[in-house]
Amino acid sequence: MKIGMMSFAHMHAYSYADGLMKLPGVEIAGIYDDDEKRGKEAAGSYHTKYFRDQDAFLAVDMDAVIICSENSRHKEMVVNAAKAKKHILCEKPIAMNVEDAEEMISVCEEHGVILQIAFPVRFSDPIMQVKNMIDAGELGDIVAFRTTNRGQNPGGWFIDPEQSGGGAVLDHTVHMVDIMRWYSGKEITSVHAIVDSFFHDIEIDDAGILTMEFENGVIASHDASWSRFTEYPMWGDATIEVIGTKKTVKADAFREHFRLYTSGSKSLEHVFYGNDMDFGLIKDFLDCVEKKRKPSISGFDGLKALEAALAAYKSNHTRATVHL
Amino acid sequence: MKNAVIGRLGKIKRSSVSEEIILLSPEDERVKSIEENTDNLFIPIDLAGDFIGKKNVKVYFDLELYPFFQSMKDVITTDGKSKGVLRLRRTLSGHDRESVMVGDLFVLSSVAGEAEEIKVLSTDRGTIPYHVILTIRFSGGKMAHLEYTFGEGAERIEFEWSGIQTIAEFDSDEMNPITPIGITSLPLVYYAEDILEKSYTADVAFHEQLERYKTVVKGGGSE
Repeated sequence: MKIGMMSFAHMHAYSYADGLMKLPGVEIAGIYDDDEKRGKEAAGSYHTKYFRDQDAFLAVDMDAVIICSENSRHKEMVVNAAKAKKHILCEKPIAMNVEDAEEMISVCEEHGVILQIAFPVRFSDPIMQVKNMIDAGELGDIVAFRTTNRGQNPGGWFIDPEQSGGGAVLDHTVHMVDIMRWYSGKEITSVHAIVDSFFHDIEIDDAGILTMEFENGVIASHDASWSRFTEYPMWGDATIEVIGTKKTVKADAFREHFRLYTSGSKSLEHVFYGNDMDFGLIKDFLDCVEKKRKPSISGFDGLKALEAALAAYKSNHTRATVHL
Repeated sequence: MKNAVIGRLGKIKRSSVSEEIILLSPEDERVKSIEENTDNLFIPIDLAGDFIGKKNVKVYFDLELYPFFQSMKDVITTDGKSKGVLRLRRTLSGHDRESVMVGDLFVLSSVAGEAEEIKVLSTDRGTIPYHVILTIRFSGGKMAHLEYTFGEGAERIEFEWSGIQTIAEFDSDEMNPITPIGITSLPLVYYAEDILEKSYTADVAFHEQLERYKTVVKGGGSE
């Protein structure tokens, strides 16, 4: 199977490419990146050809592409890849606004290509285990969710509103909204949020707390931030607590670790040894392409997660609950 | 001076109760007459409504008395202008739901500033567990999520502060000094001296403030 990489602007591109390299029978057919230095370096690392020209890249014989550009360029790349009949794994968030997301989904349907959105948290072992417990009825009816996704400020284009479309709230809310939708099988009907910029001297949000209500009355909270600094023992967290009528359980995708104490400036480090969820995502996407099945995480899933994140900004701006 | 404290006996470190303090559980028959026989009566928030207008009554809030909270409060207030996110999570059973939430609002306002905006979202009151989420925007740049699960499980408190270059985390299960959990009520106990020191005179202004928070918590919705 031949897979092309479109842009290494998002750091996940490297772990996705690492994942491709581990799989037998999979070849990185080429790398397109308008940042020539970055693209050439990546092509050298992954022993493939670099393309400066997007049309030339998309003319190459390959089954699918993985898009890891700035958020502002997702639409352009998805639409062009779809027209070139390439199946697509697109980094989250799907787009910067709902209209673009809808167009991306529509174009992919029109050209008969798969559009999967990269929500790797679904492939974390503890997150999957809780999903299995819910499906087996061990928790009873879900009453409420509590979620967090707090990490470090990624900097670069992430903190440029023109290229990212939003800060920590957009970057981190979509992950856990996706997990809540996946766990419950229900849609969010309202969002209330407080969004602010606390932790860094940047012109974009780095903190937000959201409350949400689902169509079946389940309520949820979410804490999204870039509040973790480099001396914190780990990058951050991705947690979900499910309060059920029979049992309450909590999972953290980054919890599996040992504590490492050293005498440096970072005296305590949590060394992660859990499963590689990015690799799980890549394997699932390739399986989807190979078997020509529906994606595990569709463009619609990406759209619904985006809607909730954008509603948080609107709620903060209007100081009112936003109904979806 | 004779001081009487009404409280949940298992919550108060018995070694901290001196001979000058009369300690009574809320169920004790002497509660009805104790007010007349003491100089000061210290009561928990859930009994505040029964003693309105009484001059020698002071009210305490359990959250404010926990040693962990007193230490974390110092971290949060070290820089008075510090911005950040507060998260309080309580798992409780057999408590006066409204009083717990009202009390926490009162205590956290003293740490984080005046609550400018409060949004309450809850599940069906008749369903166990009953879950409530309070979202609060405080004056001065702090925001908070207060979450409560009222059910049948053991009591647990999780409290987090994400400030600028400062993160503080507490979990009563994780910080329990004796395992397995259930052997000790530590760390969720407090000292009798702290009750005497940190209680509030139950005057008109105090009750007005409580009433404001009660209205928000009872009615749901937002303020």
